[in-house]
Amino acid sequence: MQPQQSAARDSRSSAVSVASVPVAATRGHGNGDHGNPGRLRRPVRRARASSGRPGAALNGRLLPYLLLAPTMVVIATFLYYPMARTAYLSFFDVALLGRRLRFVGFDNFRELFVAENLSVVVRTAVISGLVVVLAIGSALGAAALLNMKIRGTRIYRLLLIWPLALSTAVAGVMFLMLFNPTFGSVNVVLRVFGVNPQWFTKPILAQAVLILALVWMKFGYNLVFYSAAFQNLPQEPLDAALVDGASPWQRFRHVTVPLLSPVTLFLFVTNTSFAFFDSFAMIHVMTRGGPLDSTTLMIYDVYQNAFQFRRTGLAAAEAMLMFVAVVAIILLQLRLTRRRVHYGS
Amino acid sequence: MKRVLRAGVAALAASVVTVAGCSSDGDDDGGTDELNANGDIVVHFWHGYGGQRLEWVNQAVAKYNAQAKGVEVRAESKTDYDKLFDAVLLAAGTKAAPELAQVVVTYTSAALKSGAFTTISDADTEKTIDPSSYMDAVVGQLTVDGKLTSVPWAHSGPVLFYDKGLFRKAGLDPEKPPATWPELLAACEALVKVSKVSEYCIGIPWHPWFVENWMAGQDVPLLDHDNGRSGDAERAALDSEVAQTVFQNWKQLYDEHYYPYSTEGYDFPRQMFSESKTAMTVSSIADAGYFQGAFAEQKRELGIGFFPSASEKPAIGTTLGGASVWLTAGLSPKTKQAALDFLAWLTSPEMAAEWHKATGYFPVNKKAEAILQSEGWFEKNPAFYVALDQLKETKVTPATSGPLHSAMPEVNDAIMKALEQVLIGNVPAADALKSAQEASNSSILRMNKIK
Amino acid sequence: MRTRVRRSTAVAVHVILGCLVVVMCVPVVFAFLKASQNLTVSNSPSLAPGGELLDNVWTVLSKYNLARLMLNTLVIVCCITVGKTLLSLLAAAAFVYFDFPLRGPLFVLVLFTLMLPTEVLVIALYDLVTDLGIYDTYAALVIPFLASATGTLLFRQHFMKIPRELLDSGKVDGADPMRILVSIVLPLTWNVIAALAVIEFVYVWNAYLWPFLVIQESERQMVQVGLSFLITQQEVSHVGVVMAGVALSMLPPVIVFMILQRRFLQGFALGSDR
Repeated sequence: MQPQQSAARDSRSSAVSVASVPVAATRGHGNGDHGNPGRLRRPVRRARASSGRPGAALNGRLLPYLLLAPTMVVIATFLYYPMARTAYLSFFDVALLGRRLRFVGFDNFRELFVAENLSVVVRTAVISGLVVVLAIGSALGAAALLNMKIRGTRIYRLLLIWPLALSTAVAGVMFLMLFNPTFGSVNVVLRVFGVNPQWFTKPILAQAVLILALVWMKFGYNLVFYSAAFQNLPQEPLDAALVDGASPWQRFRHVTVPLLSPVTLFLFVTNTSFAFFDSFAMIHVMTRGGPLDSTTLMIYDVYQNAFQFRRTGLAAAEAMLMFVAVVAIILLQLRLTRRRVHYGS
Repeated sequence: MKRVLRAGVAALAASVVTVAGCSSDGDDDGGTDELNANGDIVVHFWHGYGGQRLEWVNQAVAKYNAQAKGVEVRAESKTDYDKLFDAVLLAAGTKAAPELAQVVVTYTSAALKSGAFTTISDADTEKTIDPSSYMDAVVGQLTVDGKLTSVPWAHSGPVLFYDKGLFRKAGLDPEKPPATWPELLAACEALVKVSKVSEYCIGIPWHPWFVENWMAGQDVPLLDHDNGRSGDAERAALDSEVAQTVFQNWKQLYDEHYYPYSTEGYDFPRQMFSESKTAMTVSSIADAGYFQGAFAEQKRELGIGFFPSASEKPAIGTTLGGASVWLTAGLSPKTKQAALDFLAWLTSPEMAAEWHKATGYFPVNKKAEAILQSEGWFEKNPAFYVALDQLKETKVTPATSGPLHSAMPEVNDAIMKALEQVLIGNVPAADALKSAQEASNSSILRMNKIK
Repeated sequence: MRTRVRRSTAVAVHVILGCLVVVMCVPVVFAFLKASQNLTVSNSPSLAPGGELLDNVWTVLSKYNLARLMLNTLVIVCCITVGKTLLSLLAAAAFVYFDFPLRGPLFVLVLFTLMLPTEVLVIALYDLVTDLGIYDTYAALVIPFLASATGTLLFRQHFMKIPRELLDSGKVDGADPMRILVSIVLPLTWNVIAALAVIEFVYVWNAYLWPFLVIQESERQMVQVGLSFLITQQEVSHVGVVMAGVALSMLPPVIVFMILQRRFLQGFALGSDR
């Protein structure tokens, strides 16, 4: 269910980045060892007065296992097992709804990089890339504007971030109607200029609407994080730049943006996940992947392969590919974040 | 972080190995009997019917349960044949699996390959079912490698239903329905454009069976190797000229507004015809019972003719449609016998005759036809005989024997996807069929690799 | 600290922000206007507000069963929120307040699930729920989502901030661990629970892919999927009714968000901890 996963994704790298962003950015995690969860294994005997890393704060030999049991059972059954099974199936040709399996090794993966499958992969990369860049860029700009001393920023912000409470399905329907060539308001305006674009029958236009809708949806979410980040910016580097005679734009580019890089990297991950996975509802509602497969991103292709073309093995391979891509991006983000913070801003 | 990653990957790898080890793709445990509150054996019977046919099945099952000892049959509708097939495959090997399930004739090979069923020849040790008591044509289609796969039950041919009254009004001969494509077009022009007695001309259910039949009528099999009957098929014939003609015909009907487009299977054209929005409809003879009843109520005159051919040449015949009843795999001896007993009763001469009278499905039991003849049923209802007539007049060739291959579900999907593109996507028939051909071929070859 | 700006810049900024607001709000204004129009007007380009809002809303609630679907979704939301909160809380308590041999590895296993998005898992999850016999049931919508790494981390972070003395005092009183958790830790945790609940409400209400795949019976479906079926049913029949459906489907989470903004953002902030 994309909701819980959005929550997971939002906090996924955030939790993990919390784990690795030390010192200035975090509040004390006791030993100052970045709160690396692996280190929890060593119970800390010294408990600080105010907050501490608790050792065995409570007694109970069986109790902790009981407390953990429901969680472990659920994640083993409904997360780990399906993940393993998906990985397993990706090496098979699955026929007749799973009744017959034929081992094919990496053939499914090879098939993903051939002809029309390759175009799905490329299309996903390009469209996701555009969505991420536009959504983050626009939110950064808006946050900078909201950070200026003008009146009404709170109302502006509220009116700008509210779409983060929407589902992509609802947004999809709204955009579907808004861009309808006959009765949609967009074309009403454009007709004044003499054009009446057929948004959902021309591939490139359909892609444009998809990108716009996805950016529109994620903008608010990004703005929330950037706004908070702006409020927490340390003042000295900015003041120093001012003293050095830097113009506002230079200050922004060379001081503010680098200072914001941890947030930017975090948003990069969450926006990519959003574009990869949450776009399903929007595609299904607006275009069903058409026209001529132009809005078929990988997540939609996985659905079609598994549930319409009965190519379960291929779909599993495609899902694995997306999984690997997301993990790679998370790792990249972690590495970059660590490096950024280590070498200072 | 690295530690988390390493541990997580290790856990994942461990679970993949476990999953691989425990994976059973098709093992069915030796069955146990399911008993109801009275200790009777429960036999679940899944079929694909709604509406009037569903009613008939429910009444028949009730009748059987009333007189059967130690058995309770429970019928369940799965809406249509495709959903039914998917449901059985998914349920196979689990507690939710039925004992009996209908499988449409086209999926005979797929059913065999799925391992979810046992053939009648293998299962029927007590010889409860006698293959020679059924229509030869049907038994022939259901016999693979010398084994009778399933019990014939609900079989049909495609026919043309038409409104005699509207024909008269349009100046057409109500006793001579169109038999070739040019005749069909002429009739449509008369009905819709000239005398304007009907909003649309003809409905066609959104189903690949009609494409198959239009091709078979021109003696072009859907698959090579004699429609998959003289060896594993390797390619479909969707790139043939005939296939293109069929698609172009359908498109022509759409463009001329003779045909109301809908992807809702059989329901939509059935409704359109009974509401008099189309003057004709092709459909299965199994709709005869329904249409006859509806027309009688509305005091209209129903006409039934042979399925029209796709060209000016008359068709050489039609393929068999409908669904037989299969026994699922892994049943205990007692349950299996109970299921077979029910099947024998369901396809007995009396019940087969009743089923025919209510729907129009072929009287699959040879003696049933005799009963109907002796009752004079066909004299009073000559229209019901049309499909049987058509079947008897069919020249038996690989084309009219229907396709046999386990990839048929996917081939069917490819055909309808291509058709949709041609009708509303403005894709030329040749291109759409080429894609369908490629998709079908790769499905066929993939299934061939699974032994 | 916020930047001070000149008058002229301020005007420009207001203009830009104003345009952005327009862009962000146009779709919903459009939706509400269309939802108020009757059949002919709504299918036309006109944006004139009509008087049919209540009629369209009524149609979509009753004839197209959206009321039932919203109720279904509400039930699912409650089940998941309660279940997830409970499981995460217990798990976090186990990790934070106890020391036991497998603590490290189990924590790692929980943490790693952050990298296992449901969308990747749907294929196998679909087969799994079919095998378990819960296909097309509420169980399939709820049970897979009862565990949460995010929730566990949120509660863990919170628990780690609770001063040890509070717990120690409980131990001195001779209370057993569960009593301590319930009577001392829990009362301090309501804020976090509320934040989590708010986020879960919005996310579950907006669920699409999984309910789409696993629910067959239209009576049991969830609201977002039901809405999408409304379009295909209607095709271009009655835009006003469709938009009324849109308005209804989006209202609960948006209202929750607007009113409980602080909690919502708190939940986000807890998650990102910057």
